[in-house]
Amino acid sequence: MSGQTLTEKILARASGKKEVSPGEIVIAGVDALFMHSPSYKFRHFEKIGGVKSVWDGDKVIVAAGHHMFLPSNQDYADAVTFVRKGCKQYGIKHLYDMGTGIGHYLMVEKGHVWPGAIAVGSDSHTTAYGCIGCLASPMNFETTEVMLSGKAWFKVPPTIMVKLEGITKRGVSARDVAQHVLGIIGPDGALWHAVEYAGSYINRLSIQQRMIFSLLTTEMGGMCGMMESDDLVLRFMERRSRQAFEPVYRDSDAQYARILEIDVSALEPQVAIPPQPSDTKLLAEVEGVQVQQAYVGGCTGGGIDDMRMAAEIMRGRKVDGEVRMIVVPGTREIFDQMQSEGLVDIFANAGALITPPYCGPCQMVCVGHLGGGEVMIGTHPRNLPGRAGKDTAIYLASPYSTAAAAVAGEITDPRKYL
Amino acid sequence: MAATHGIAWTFGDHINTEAILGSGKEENWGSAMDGVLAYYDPEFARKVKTGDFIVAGRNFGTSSGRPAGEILRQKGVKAVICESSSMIFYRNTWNIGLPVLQCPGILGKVKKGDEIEVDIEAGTVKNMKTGEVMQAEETPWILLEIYRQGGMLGWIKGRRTEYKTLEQA
Repeated sequence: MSGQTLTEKILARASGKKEVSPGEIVIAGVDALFMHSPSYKFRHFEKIGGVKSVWDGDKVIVAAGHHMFLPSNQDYADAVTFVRKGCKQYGIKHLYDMGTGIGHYLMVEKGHVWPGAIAVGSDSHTTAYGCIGCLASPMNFETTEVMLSGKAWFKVPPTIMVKLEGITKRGVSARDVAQHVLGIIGPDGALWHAVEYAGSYINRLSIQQRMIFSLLTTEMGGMCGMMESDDLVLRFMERRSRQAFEPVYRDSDAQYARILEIDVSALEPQVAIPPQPSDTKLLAEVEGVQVQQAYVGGCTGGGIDDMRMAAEIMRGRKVDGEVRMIVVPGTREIFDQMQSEGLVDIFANAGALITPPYCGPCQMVCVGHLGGGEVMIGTHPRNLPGRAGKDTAIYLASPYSTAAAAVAGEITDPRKYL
Repeated sequence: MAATHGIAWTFGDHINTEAILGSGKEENWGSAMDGVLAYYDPEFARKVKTGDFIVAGRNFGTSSGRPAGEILRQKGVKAVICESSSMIFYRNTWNIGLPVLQCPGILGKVKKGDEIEVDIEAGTVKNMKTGEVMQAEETPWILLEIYRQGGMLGWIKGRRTEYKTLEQA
């Protein structure tokens, strides 16, 4: 028996097998099910008829405030009312309502996932929870069935190993490194694959910064993206995990479909240009592009480290008169931490708009729509056609680079402000 | 299920779900129906007919997990045949009852407007003009089982006794 990857070991344990091989279909027990907008799944329940409850109300988590901090029209308000009613009716115990934040941060912060767990979620960025060693994979339509059975099927994926070593230069963040990796692997380089991240660079990152890597795995087509839990994760989980757990670790002789080894120490600031999150360029190649909106937030930029980085640039400076800067903390806990560190004052004094926690203008479903011909730079994960209206362009970058663009009115190297 | 004939609409690589079902349109299907794939082919939403097929490149249905296949089904599309499919789109769409075949090389063999014959169970695609038959990758057994029940809802109803969460007749 050859060694197993982290992905294979978690899938084997959850499906009651000794080992699994790529290509095999397994049916696994699910430890957590995340949903942001389950209204049409509840309509499925009505069509099925006679639904008594979900399989385990403690394991189903609904983040009704993921896409909006308040409904912006009556259609949305009605949809949220329907979700609240459905959660009560079907015994779903965890409903994060308006203004509580982005579901992916909440899943980890509130201990709904743990190392070695299997989570599925209706949002494609569900891969996020891999940052603590949880196998987390997106599935949307099928979450109706998972709610009833507590099980999900998986095609065991081949695994890509990404080893990251070294220390980045000042002004280069985890987002720059993750953007670089995404550019190398490409939009379908991890299609139907798992991606595991390791190396001294990863282990020095906070949990929220690790999440940028696990989360962006979905932009490579990956089924899941994760790293092994370490002391940092285990200490974090002690206070938060909703149940006792036994972490899973990879075998030293595990087999990988591909191994990428990257030294981050010479890396320069990166940017994704429209219209693909994986269209990676050096920031230097797009310097001078004028922006009308700068957004610090989203599931790859709403963490406390992201807020600190952006604030470092904004301290004592003003947002350019032609730019709207929007700052959106990922959760209330992150917002509280921003307040206690004085970051809220820094952004407010700079002229930035601070909203309650939610997904922000990553896709235009709440506030912050772009006008035709406008350009946005942001720390969020996506810039694809159809997300920001007609005739718009989105650049994705680090919190340093996004804040620097807000100050300069154009894309510019943030290091001149550090 | 017997093989069906239809006209192919072709698309390139990395067609994203937001371009199939626009952001914020999940609660407003009327307006979504008019904008399907407009970014990539403005004619499609107006001219697609029941029984047509989508033939596409790599990574079809990439990005958001929204059930974009449902709007293609409502437009009358009978199957999506692509070089490769995003995992979420693939799983969603089979569960909706609309098959997705991953058929490497297909985009080089079928042009926009070609008539093709598709056999879902056999996983074959025939170009009626050239006569060439292509074989798609094997579909996971569980998805074929779900498809035979008309999609996930039929599959759940057909296995009702297996769910403790459902009232039994």
